[in-house]
Amino acid sequence: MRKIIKAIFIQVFLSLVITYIVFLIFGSIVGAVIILFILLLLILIKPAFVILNVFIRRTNWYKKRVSDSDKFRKRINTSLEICNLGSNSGKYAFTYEGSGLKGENWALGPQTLSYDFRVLKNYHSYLKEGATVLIPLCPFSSCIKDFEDDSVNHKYYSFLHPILILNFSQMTKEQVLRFVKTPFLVEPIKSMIRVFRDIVPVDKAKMTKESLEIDANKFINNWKDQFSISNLDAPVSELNKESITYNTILLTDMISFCLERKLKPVIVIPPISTALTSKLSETFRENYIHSFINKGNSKQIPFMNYMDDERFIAEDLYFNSYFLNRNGRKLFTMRLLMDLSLVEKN
Amino acid sequence: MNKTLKNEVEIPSIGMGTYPLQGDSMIKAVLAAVECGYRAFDTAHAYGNEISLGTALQKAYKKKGIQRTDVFITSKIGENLEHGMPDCKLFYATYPNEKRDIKGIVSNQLSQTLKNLQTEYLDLLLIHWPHPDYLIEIWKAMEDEYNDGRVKAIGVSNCREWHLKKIIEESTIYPMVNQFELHPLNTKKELISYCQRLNIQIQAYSPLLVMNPKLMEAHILKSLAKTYNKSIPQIILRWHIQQGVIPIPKSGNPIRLKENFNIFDFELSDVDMKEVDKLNENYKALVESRYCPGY
Repeated sequence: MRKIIKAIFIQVFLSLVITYIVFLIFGSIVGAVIILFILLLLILIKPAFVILNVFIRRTNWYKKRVSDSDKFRKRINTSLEICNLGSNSGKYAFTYEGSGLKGENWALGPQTLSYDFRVLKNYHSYLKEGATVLIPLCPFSSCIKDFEDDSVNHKYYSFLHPILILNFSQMTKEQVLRFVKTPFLVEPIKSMIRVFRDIVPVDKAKMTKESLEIDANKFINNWKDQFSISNLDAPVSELNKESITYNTILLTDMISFCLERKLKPVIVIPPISTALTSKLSETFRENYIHSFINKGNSKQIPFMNYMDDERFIAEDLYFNSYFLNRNGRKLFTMRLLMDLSLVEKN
Repeated sequence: MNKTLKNEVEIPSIGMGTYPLQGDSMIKAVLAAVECGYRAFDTAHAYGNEISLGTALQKAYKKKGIQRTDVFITSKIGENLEHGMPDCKLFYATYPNEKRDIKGIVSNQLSQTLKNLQTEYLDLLLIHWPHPDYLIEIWKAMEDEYNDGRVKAIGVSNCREWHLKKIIEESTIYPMVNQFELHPLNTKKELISYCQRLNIQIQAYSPLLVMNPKLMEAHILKSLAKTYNKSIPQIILRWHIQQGVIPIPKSGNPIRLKENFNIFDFELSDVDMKEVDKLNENYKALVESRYCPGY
């Protein structure tokens, strides 16, 4: 900052000198003032831009766009004792704060199992030997193959090796990195608006029994739509069967990858509100969750299922019907770490 | 001062790392190193400095009265670097290339290396990184080069136990050398004993951790330096030697080169060796999976 201020002073001084020379040569005060105005404008553009960028980077809008990947870009920790992969359900289920363990939440929302594996392939050397790798699964993990919308994968451009990014494009990479560094240059109007009218962080919402019920119905309807399922209890469609086979192989490979590297993989289904789990019948669970995990987990690694755990039914642990809030994830992570004997029981 | 690889090829007990030396600084450093007594030089396709090393060695042959047979040259098969990172375009199945011919890539890269280094053979050829998709194919191509005589010994670099197991299971020739990051802040005891059980010679890159203050300020090293009347780098290099490891420190500074080489006139006690071991914190200057996805 001191350097910038010093540079501005020098530039302003030089501008005054130039203006004076212009005045001496042409004898016009108006001309000299115009020259001075233009020079000052040019000098102040950069600092103004830097300050604006600082404000934009403080918005929840910017953080939401890049904070998931921040943890990979700014990393310094090695010898991690635990990490978790996963999509939003993993992102909102785990926090290692206060656990006494050196851990990191590597989940990104939304994320397929395929990208879980890609993140692991790129970052597993940050884990110490014997570290625990949590593989969180959610009710429809088995059905998500790759996102049709390629822009969902743009978040990986700033921290994954290009070889791990599907349909990698150098142009997209440059654009993504430009946004991370200077969001104003890439999305000037949106970013200006967000400086004055920021978005509210999603995980701050307070839930009641009624709001959870409404939200759960929304989730179910969205999933039905996303996976073309009219009846959750109906036999699995050919298209979904194909995705389940694909993800079963992936899960098996991920587990083998961890075991080969002396890491301890654990499959986890984090808690979900009763409003939502009550809509998932036994038939659905067998077709989409249990058979998938049974087949994928041929190496018999630990499977921790908290989906219906009665210790996590309180509404105030969730910010919607699906994801845990800050308190919820703290409580759940500690419970899980105790169950895995990674921390001492109280 | 030499060690013997499992195929009876002799290898000097200490080598000179050359990355990122280039041009005149490479020539000066190599001439100074030869003067000190260094006979092993380590480079790689990815370093982009093979031509400089080749030129420097030619000058050394002329000016320092040594011959090609007096020096031990190591290079590595690998990916090209892009912004300091391997671009992973040659040895990753996901990078589109319908006509990928691993044997051809290895053979061409070795030919280029020999041309760059102005030599007809290499003393040691390593796989730079255990690229997971084609590790075995690369190794088999290197076995062919070894059998053809263009390289006197073959080995690997940056390999952990699981990579070595794979190679051993599927190949006819075991790796003769494994070169990896090793220093008192990352002692990799299990990997060392695994390699030694299989008679795989270990080479240490970053043996001094680029003079990292965390290491250079370590109380025990300061104390040992005082006790043995040596510098901290000399204590560390001696710690490598006494474990049976070949360190390959890099320096362009003639005084440091000389200092690094003068480590054969003293011996650390067993107690002191163990004290240095205690500095281990699994510190990584180079986090492997970042450089070699799927590592």
